[in-house]
Amino acid sequence: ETTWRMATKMPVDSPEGQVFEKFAELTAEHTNGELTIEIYPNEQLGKEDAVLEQLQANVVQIYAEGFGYMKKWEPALAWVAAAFAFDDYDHWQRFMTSETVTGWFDNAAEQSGVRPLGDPTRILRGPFRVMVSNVPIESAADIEGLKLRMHENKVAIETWDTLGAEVITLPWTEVYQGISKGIVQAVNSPIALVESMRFNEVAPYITRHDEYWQSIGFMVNEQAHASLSEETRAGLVKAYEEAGDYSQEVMSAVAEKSIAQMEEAGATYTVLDTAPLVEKMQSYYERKAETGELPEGFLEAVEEARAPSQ
Amino acid sequence: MTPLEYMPRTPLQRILNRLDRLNWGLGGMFLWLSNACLLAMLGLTAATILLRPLNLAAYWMWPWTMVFFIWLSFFGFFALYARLKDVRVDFLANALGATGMVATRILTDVATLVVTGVLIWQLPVVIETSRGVFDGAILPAGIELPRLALSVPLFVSAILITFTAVLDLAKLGAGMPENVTNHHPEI
Amino acid sequence: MAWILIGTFIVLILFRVPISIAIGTATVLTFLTSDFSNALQIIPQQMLEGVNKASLTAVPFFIMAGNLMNVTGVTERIFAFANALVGHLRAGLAQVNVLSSMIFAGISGAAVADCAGLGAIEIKAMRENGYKSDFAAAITVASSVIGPLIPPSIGLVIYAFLAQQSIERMFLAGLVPGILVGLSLMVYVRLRAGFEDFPTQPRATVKEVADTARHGFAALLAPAIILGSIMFGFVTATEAGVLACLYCIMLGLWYRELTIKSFSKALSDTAMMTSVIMIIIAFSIAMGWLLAIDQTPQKLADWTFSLTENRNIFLALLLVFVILIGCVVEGVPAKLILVPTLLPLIDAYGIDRVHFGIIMQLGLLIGIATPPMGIGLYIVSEVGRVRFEKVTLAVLPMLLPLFATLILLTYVPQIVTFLPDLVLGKQ
Ligand code: NA
Ligand code: NA
Repeated sequence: ETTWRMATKMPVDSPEGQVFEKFAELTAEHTNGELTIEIYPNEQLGKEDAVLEQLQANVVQIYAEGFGYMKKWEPALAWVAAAFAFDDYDHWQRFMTSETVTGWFDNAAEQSGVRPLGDPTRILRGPFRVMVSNVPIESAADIEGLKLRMHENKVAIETWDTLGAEVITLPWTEVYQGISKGIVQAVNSPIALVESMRFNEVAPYITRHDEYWQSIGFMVNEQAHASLSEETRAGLVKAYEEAGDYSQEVMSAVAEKSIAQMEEAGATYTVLDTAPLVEKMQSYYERKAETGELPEGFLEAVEEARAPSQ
Repeated sequence: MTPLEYMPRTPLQRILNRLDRLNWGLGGMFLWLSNACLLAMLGLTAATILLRPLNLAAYWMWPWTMVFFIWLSFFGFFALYARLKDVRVDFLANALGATGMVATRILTDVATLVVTGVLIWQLPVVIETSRGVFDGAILPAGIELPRLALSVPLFVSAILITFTAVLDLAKLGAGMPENVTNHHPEI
Repeated sequence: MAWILIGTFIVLILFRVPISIAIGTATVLTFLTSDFSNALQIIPQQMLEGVNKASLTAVPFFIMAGNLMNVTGVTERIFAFANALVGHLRAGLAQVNVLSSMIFAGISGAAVADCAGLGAIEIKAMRENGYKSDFAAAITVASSVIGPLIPPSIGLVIYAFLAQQSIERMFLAGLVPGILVGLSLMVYVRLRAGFEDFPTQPRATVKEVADTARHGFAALLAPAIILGSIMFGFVTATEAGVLACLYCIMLGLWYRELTIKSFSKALSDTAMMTSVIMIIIAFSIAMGWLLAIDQTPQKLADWTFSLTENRNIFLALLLVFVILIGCVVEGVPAKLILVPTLLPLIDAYGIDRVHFGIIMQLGLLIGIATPPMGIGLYIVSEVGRVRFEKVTLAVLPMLLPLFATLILLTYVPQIVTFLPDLVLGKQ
């Protein structure tokens, strides 16, 4: 019998927290109690870099977070959530399971001994992204000159700069006050977090723009994984797959309910036509590819995944 | 008594006092490194406030403020140890008289060596696993500051504190008094 | 495990080991005797995590503002004015101490900043007016508890995030309890002045009040400017701290009392004080990691809550529990560990999350005034140049009004919830 420590950033009673609980339950069930998952929520064990180091040291065995943080082992992985690069979720899913991206994960595993468990798009996050603003956003043109909150990330800042927004960096926890004081007008967020952060109280316009697609990676210590019996490993993957199904259910139900509640409280919810944004970004990505800032084969892999595969 | 006031009598004491003065000076230097970090934080944040209405505040200002905050804390570790700026409770040691002072002097040095010893022992692992960059802390060359650079002042301080504690044990052996200043709670 | 930790720490502190080294040794020894003796790289890693906290960058600036006021003579002007106003009351400066903490609370989000910044001013003034240093330091640390209750408050921001409450609601909820804590301390001071001789001063003449007001006005403007810029302006807490510093520098230049020498003294004092605090926090975060991964708080919680199903008894146990945790763990890591663990129980007992947030905040805050981990005690003993053990003793009776307020808030939740419910509507 083995116990694995699983670190997460999210509170237990958040939708993602519920998915992780479910995963722990399912793992116990499908491995006949051979593997127990103990969850450490709320960044109890530290922020991303710290937990990834603990994952490498096999102090923690699973970290449930975005794959972007693995970029320190394979820089190409910074681009798995490229903004406005994919037509829809399916397009992104085909890209994420392509040989190119799998190669990146192999590289990261070689560097760090950490690897994703199963299909990397399985556990949904979000489930989609929106812009929350105190002015209506009805078309791509409304983004011009918008004072938009951003985290300190060069590519994200360049992206929204390209799209015409006036980017202002601010910590996530200060966004609410930032909007109410007029420091910023808008923030990008997964739909699931809008209501719990109370953004709609100060910014009642909620616009779905599918900035990028997100999944929660279950990053696993390879050594810990290898020391499991084959049956246990099979049970673990089964639990992961089922937790994935559960996440799709939970996340869309939560999103629908939350949108309805916020509309009731006076918010306006719209879906933006993002084709102009995708078009605007194309030239940005081409420029990046020319200067060699994009990983090798990135644009090709995006193109290849555009059509459903053979 | 500080190393600057102490009058060595034997050749050994002279060597140790020379080292002690050097270390004292180094402590002062780290104090100023710490001060420089604080000034940088002040300057960057003031600039952010002033430049924001003009839309000139750069996004790297805040991450660098954080970096200087971390360095301020870690550079200060050696400075506050060498320059005796930390908080110490000495009523019990005083009550035990001269023996108490010597015993607690040794205890302090040993406890210090346990802490810094473990930190230094872990240095190779930290170098091995500290990867990636501090997001947004861009350097003039356009790249971002490596995460490892955040911890460097901690380890440099740990190494110098180790030296300070060993030096104090050597001084004890040579019959030299402990460094004290009137900074400590007196009243 | 918790016992090795606390035992080592207390013993080392008592035997003259500097506090940063004592807490470091306790952490290292606990790691060495735990299941994680082969993962000691966690210690430097978590130390970095501990100082890499954006919300704490406000600390040096609020310390620095205090130090700058000291070296530029602003402090004296403030106290001269405050003294002219209420110094004639019994134990007048003790009352001023409490009242200024309540005003300061409108600037500062952390108790540490109150003890270190304002504390330096208050203790100096009280001592110069003939108060005993330990009493001055004790009332300073006790009144610093007000700071993180009256908005702005870093602790309440963190709680709001963890408990999914709005920051605005938590801030509004903290206001009345913060004022109540202040009033309870003022009542305490008044009662004690009834049977103990405190320095008193003659009532100031109208001319004296006017004179000191003229000198003190610019200085008294600072909290208004800073509070105003947070409430209506465009600054974060850290930036407000910087504004305070810039304002003090300007005043110092205006009064022609700021020299390169006095400025660099203020700078060095600030850097060292910040560093002591941050190294302590760095080690206590490493310690917090170990407690979290060992699930010590959960085990303790399970045990505590297996005892009763009665809501009032539960609340009493909760208070004891939170206070005990607050004594040994710093507030931020304590919240990170406790809030998620306790929320399901809070909901199950039908306790309002906003209410719980405030009593937890106050409960943990009392820990800054109690040994062994009372950061406030260490700071005031540092800034007031008073022996740690003397402050610890002097602060003991002052915990009574704090506990009384805490109990009141615990069993009359409306005191906490009526203001946010009134302004924001019931949840
Ligand atoms: Na406050
Ligand atoms: Na006070």
